[in-house]
Amino acid sequence: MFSLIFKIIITNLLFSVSICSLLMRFNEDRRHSNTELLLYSLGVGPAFTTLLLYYSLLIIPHQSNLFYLLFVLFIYLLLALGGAKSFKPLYYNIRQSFKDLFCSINKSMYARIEFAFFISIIIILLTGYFYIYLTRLLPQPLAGHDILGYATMGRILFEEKSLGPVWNERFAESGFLYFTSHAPSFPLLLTWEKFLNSFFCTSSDLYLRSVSTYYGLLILGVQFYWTAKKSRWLGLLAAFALMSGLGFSIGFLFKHLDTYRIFFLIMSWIYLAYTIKEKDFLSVLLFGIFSGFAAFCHRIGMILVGFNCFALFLFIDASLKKRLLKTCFVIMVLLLFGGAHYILDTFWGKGWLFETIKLCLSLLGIN
Amino acid sequence: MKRSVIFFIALMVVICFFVFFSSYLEQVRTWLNSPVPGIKPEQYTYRDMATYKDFWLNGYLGLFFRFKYMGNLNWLAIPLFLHFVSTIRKRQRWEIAICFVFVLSVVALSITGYTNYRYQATLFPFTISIIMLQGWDIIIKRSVSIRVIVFVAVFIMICINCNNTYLPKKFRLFNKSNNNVSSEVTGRGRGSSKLNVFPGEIIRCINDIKDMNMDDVILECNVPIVYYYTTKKGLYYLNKPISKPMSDFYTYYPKGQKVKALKILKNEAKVKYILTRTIIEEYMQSENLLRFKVILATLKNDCDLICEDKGYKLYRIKD
Repeated sequence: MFSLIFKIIITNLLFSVSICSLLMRFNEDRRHSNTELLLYSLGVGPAFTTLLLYYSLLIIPHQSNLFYLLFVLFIYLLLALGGAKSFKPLYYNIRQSFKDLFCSINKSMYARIEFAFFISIIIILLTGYFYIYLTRLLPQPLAGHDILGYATMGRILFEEKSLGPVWNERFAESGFLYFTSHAPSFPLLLTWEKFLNSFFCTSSDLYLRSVSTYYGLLILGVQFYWTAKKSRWLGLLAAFALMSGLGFSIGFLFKHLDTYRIFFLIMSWIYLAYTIKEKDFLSVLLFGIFSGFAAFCHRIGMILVGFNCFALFLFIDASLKKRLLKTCFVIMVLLLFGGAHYILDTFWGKGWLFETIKLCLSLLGIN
Repeated sequence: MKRSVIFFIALMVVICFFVFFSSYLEQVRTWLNSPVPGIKPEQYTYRDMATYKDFWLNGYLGLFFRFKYMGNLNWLAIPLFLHFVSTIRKRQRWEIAICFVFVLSVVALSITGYTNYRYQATLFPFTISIIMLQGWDIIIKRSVSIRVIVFVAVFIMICINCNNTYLPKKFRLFNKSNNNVSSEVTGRGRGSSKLNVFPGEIIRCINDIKDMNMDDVILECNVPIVYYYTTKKGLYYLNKPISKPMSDFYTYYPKGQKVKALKILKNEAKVKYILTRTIIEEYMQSENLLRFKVILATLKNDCDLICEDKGYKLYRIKD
């Protein structure tokens, strides 16, 4: 459990805060709330780590564990140095957000009681959930078919220290069949965990097991952030509504990549709206980054972010030249942050892109 | 044209539609409840798509009508979408862009991911959020009593969902089926996310195998536990054979040359053990494929069951 806490602090908190601090430097005109940026960045840390691993395994394969570990840490150190000036404002911003939250209830007795009631509900629900999660759900070993497939691929990538097994359908050594053509962001989370394990001399996979719940909580957080802008009770109602469906609660409670991929897809839509509304550089950049990560998690993401780019081109209020430039910029960022995998896969891998085109043509009746 | 005239015409159109529809009601009902030809057994066994009605409601329109997984709230997206379209002139560009992407995504997911509720659930959190935000914008302009009624109605809908999702079967007000989180936790549900499906005994058995050389493999049916929890090698058998020895095995076995076939399996394909699952065996029985028949016959006649746990079965090929 200690190693899990350490991995979460490093990957999900410290790495994410480093990224957030750098992003804040592009937010000088304060169009975006820093608290909002931090909330979204909390999901970026793990995905960006897998992206770094992806490129390092692709470009510099077969190195030692320490090399990849130091490479990732070095990149984050650079990011943190780049955003060093923002740490202080970020800290004050978070402190101010908490102050605002608690000071806003000093108006009347009724408001205080309402707030206390509201907070009690949230605390009771979260406590109950974490009790069940930590005692019953997290200790269960990985058992589902899909998750074991991803985990096995993650383990093989760690052992091979190269992306070779991703391109081949059958991994010759053990006979393992990698059945998907998704980009390997999710398996690389286990690879990253294994790199950290080599530092701790353990063989735990608790971090991979915790990913679906972490991203499920982030989805709930993002949903609450937006709905609570209208009313905090609406936020709570929306959270209940989301958890009431078996489709999401299974993804939230059990170990799979669904919440991981859905989070980035939702974020890409939020930044699509920001890009069209605000037209600032940070929105365009984050739109590309989140779209890239959505594609990097799952091939469905790759299809859906294609619609995003099309929508950006159609709906942004600018001249044709500017539209083209912005859309091309987003596509470049999208490819850099994970979408490029599908191009590489077309030439060296399973040719998912060709398969998709063939499927589309067959649906249209063209052979 | 007066409003009353438009209303009258609309009413007549609706009545005509229902009269026309009712004359074909029986045929429509029969068609809806007839089985879908050519559908895979796994789709009707595990994904509730046996009939045309289920195929359309749980499949293509699953985001809105697959109540078992999506609940009933998603359905509210349809009237809210119609309201959005009716007020589209007042909408900002980013709102229209989001609506455009959402509609395209619904269509794409309906076409490509209709068989799996997990793909349909991709849009679920976003849909719920949009319903709440847009619904709020509509009711905030109304009177307090209407707001309270809407809040209570939504709350009741959530309670109905929770009743189906979280309560154990015996405590539920209605819907006594086994599909909820409770049954997933206790392992009585369906799907790969059940909690007590961990086949610890099988993994222990595989790790304890002593009579396998470095080149020997376990014939397996896409069960990654072999590769994740053990160091043994495997050979996948559900697809078409990719190696010549396996191809020969499938050829000789049904021709009455069983001894030769088994010799090829053991000496050339290097298969010592076969790992399978109860559901895979059921699946193989339902599919009319020669290689599946050969595997089933081998399991029955030429193997010893040495370990069984949580639906997994490990067989050893007889000497």
